[in-house]
Amino acid sequence: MINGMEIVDFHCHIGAWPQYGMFDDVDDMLRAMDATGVDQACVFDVFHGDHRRGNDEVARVTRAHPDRFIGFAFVTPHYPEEITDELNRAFDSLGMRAIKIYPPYFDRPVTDPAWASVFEFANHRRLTVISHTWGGDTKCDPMLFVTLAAQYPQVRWVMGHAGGPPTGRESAKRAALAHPSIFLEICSSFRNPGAIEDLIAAVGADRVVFGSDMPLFDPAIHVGRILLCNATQEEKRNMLGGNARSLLS
Amino acid sequence: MFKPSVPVIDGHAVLGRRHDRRVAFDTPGDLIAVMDRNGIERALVYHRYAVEYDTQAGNAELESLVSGYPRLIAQRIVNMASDDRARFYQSGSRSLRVFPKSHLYPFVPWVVGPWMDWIRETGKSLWVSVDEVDPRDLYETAHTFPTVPFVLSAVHYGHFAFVWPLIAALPNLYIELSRLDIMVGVRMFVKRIGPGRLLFGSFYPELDPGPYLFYLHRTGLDDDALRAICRDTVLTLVEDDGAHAI
Repeated sequence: MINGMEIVDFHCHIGAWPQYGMFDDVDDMLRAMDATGVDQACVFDVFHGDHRRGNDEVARVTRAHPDRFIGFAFVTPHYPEEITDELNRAFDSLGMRAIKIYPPYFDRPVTDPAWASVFEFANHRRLTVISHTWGGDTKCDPMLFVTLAAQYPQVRWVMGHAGGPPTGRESAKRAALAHPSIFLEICSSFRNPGAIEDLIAAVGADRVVFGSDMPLFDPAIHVGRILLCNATQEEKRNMLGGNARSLLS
Repeated sequence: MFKPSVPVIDGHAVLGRRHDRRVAFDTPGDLIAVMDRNGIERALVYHRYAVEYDTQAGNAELESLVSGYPRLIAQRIVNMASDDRARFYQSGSRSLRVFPKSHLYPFVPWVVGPWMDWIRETGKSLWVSVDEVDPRDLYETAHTFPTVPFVLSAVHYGHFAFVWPLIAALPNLYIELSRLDIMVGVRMFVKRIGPGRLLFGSFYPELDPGPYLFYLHRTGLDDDALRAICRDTVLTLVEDDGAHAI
């Protein structure tokens, strides 16, 4: 909580990436959350080639701290024959609440048929899917999700990083305007002045979602982007936690 | 509304228009307004035109722009491969900034040695953005001139793999923090080299200074460390440029 507002971080990872200074020390994550008033963090594995192992690692953390971490499942498109079984296990046995996909990191465009069973699963269960997105990337430009949103109408789609740099944000805004089930999550190293206000003006604060990319980034920076932006308290409350709660319901 | 609890000098701000895209904020008035909004007392600024084209014209434009703004500290850019050192003798400024990659020269002693001799003799600090220099060249030159403070700016997670060992290998290397977003990253760096070699920079107008200052105040650092990062380190590097008035 900060200023009486609940904070739910919609974009966090379990797993290390030491060459980028990213270490998966859960105690450090909890300290960073406490320092900024982050109540809960949605966590998903980083790029493991074996989705079972990755999801088990996430579940180990969420079971140890069920009041602080919410697990999201992830799957690799390189083993499509395993996807449905693994998603069933992740949701029914491990308690996952949404799905994270990483099209560029697995070298499969989000439009590739290998992802279809993921989206069918999400559509059937009315789940939220969050994807890494980046403007101009042929594997994950936000506009690629507009067709998918029409094809899988029960899924709510969250554009991780809101398309990244300013040019990518333009693509993310266009995608969100094109389909009401597309939401924009803010974490990015492109912290341009006015970026949050720009997203609100384009799509409304009820479609903008706080995320930090912790433990790659410190959540305080992205909490600060929302707290200090030119928006009403109600808009800030929605962006910091209210919208995430809706996406998880 | 959040305001810093310690005095703040911004160690990295930019003025002027770019040629390749529109910049949302490019005037001294824009910069002063964002400084006021975020509790920043003074800012070290350079001019974009001196990066991409002509150092002399860009530096002259900078002088003209900041002349009515005592809170802005002009930082001249030097092209060590082609600029005439005599043109810098009268400036009296304590810091210079270089852009070796943009200016197409290797940052190695056989190119920059004469300039570095002069910088050492005149007690200046040298600032360079991390994307503008090969880390091997930076190591060689900074190691060759150990009494010159080198400030590496705009370091982010993509540079961690070489910056982490570099700061241990070079006691004269300082880190400007504008893009260092890594979780508990500032605490990690403080633990490794102390707050006296770290300094706040905004990288305005590319980045918004407020969220980073908010983050610095949530790191759990004590007031002395916070004051060092937000003001004192910059002060030691540019003091004679007018920053002593704070």
